[in-house]
Amino acid sequence: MISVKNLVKKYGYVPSVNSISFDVKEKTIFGFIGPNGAGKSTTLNILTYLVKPTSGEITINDLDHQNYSFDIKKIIGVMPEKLPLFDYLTGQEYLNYIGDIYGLTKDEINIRMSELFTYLDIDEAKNRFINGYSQGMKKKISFAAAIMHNLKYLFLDEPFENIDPLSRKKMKIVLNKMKEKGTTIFITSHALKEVEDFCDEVAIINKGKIVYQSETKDIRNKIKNEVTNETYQSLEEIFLDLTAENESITELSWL
Amino acid sequence: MIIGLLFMVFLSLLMGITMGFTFVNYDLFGDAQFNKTDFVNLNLSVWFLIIILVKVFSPKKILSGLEIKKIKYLPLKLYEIFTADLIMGLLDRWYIMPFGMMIGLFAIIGAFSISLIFSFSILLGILLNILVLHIVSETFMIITGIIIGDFKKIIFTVLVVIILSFLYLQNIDYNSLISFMPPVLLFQNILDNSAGNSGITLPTLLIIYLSIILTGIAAYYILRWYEFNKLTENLQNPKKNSAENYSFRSLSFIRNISLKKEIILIFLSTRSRSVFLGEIILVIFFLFYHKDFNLFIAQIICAVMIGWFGYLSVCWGYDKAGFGTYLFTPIKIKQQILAKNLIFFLVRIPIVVIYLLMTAFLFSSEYLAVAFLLIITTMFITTICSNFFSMYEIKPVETKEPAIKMNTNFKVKFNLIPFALVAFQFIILLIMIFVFYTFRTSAVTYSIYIAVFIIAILIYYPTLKKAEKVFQERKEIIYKELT
Repeated sequence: MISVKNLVKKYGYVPSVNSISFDVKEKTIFGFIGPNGAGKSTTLNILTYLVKPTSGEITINDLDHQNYSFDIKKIIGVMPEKLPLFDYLTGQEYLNYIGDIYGLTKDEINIRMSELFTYLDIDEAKNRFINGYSQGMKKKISFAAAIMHNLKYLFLDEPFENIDPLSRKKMKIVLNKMKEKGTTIFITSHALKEVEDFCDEVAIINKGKIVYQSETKDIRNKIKNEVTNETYQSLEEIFLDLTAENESITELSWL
Repeated sequence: MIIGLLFMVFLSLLMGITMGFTFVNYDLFGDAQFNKTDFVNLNLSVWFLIIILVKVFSPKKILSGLEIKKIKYLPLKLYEIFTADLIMGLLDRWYIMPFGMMIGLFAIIGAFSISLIFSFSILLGILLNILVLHIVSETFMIITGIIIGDFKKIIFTVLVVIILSFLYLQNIDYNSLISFMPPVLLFQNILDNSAGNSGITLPTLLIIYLSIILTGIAAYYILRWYEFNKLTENLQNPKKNSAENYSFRSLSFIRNISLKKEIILIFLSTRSRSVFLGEIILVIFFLFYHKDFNLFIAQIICAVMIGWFGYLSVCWGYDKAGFGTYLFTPIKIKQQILAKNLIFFLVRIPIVVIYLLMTAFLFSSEYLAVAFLLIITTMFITTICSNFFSMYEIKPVETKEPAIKMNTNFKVKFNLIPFALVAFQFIILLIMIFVFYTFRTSAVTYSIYIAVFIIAILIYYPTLKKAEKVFQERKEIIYKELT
């Protein structure tokens, strides 16, 4: 399980994440959504050791995040917002490097690498420098690197952005299979429909605070208007209701 | 960069003043009384070479901002773009140096009111030299760009230069070699004419210079055209960028994948290749300056230190966005730093061997042990300092950009820790060189050297652990800077 309690991250005096708490159950896909600059990526970066928290408690797999970093890093897979790719390694070399870090055997690396290249349709590019990849291909190689070892927790920042529909479908199949096999998946996204359809649980973060958390199956049962007993029709409705509450949409003068 | 520029301007001003006094002496008292031509020649040559070297790795004013794809669709002819580029190159800030020299020179010439013709010749000489300098440096820059674009070509060029040096240059003495330098040729003859000695007359010199400039311009356009075609061809054939073209990738002895990654990043970076190429040039340069062992050993130590520091001081910068991998994967940072140190050691070892062979053959095998200890200790001390320095002065290293990047927005940062690290290694090495000068190859020198060497080895591992701690503290800052 991933457990976060009173997590705070401040840049200077400005809190990017303001005392948030949530739990992610085992073997679930958890969608973490919010508007731009709400603190989604910062939270994911804190969970994956890319950024240090200002305060708060985190446990992953019942291990303290701060004191058992090496053990936790062994069982997590990460695809952060800024893809951690070495421009002048080839796709094959990069996956080899990652497999080596996680202690996979040569055979394991070769088999998994070859299957991932074919599955994600980047086989042709495997011997080219990553620098020459398109944004979608970079995302795919980064995704491949995140899932190629024996992980228990997977953290993905906007995994489906810039990905073509077929590959997106393939990625979802893989993620569902991983969930079935026991992997807990934490996803940040802007694609609300996708999150609603794909995730088991969802949390909305706005201005550094969690404003909503629920299982996705309960979203449509949430009461919108107590007088009329009207319910929300989609996650998007809830999202807009909670994050754009006091926002007025101004018109452009020249249009 | 701003400090470097100010320093060079100040140096140029001083050089101009010194030259001014020399010219005044020539004009007023004649050659017999004040024979300082060698001094002027040497100054001019060094000044000339510094500007060329700085310019070679500077970005182009126009062409660096334009991609080859865009150039093709510009409503301009190729020669118009190249000409604009050549002219705009004259606005390079480094040309402030010749102007600094001119101010110093004319201040002195004016103060002593020497003859009009002589002053005019000097003014013309400087302007012509700036033009030659510009053409030569621009042409050099394109050649280097073409060569550095392909690792194999560097090896080939270096080998050709070494072979030519041994075959043809070893019998030519320093004075005759330096006389062929364009600035020296001009000023030497102006001075000779002024002192009443027979020299090439001013009109003949003008013709020679114009020929040099025209030949340079022709070479410039041909090379630019060649470069354009080469880049266009690369664009049409992306396989050229494929990793299979790099033969060093098949080095089977690098078994650890981390080491393999480091070696790839080193060789693909212009910065590292420039450091590497610079050291090869220094080896050749030292071959001609080996009369004084004291000077020779000091030069080699500086070369080792600068070369080592040149790579390791920015070692995280090579990873750029890939740096994130070190943070969320179960990688031991100590091992990663060790891999970075080790791989550079492997890459640089041939140059160290060359220095040692030079010491043995050019001087005496008596100096071999002391040179070895000095070089190896320098390597250790610089490595230890660089491991920390690289975490304070963070800079992403571009693989396709010039090694020296001009920044239009100067930000002079002063951080005590990097400054202290640089000062520390310099002080230790100065003490070691001082010990050698004082005690030569006596038991005292060996004892001190061995002691420092052992201390360097002993503190290496604990400092590696400390570096890992500093890394943990600063990883977020480094990550932010690199991504």
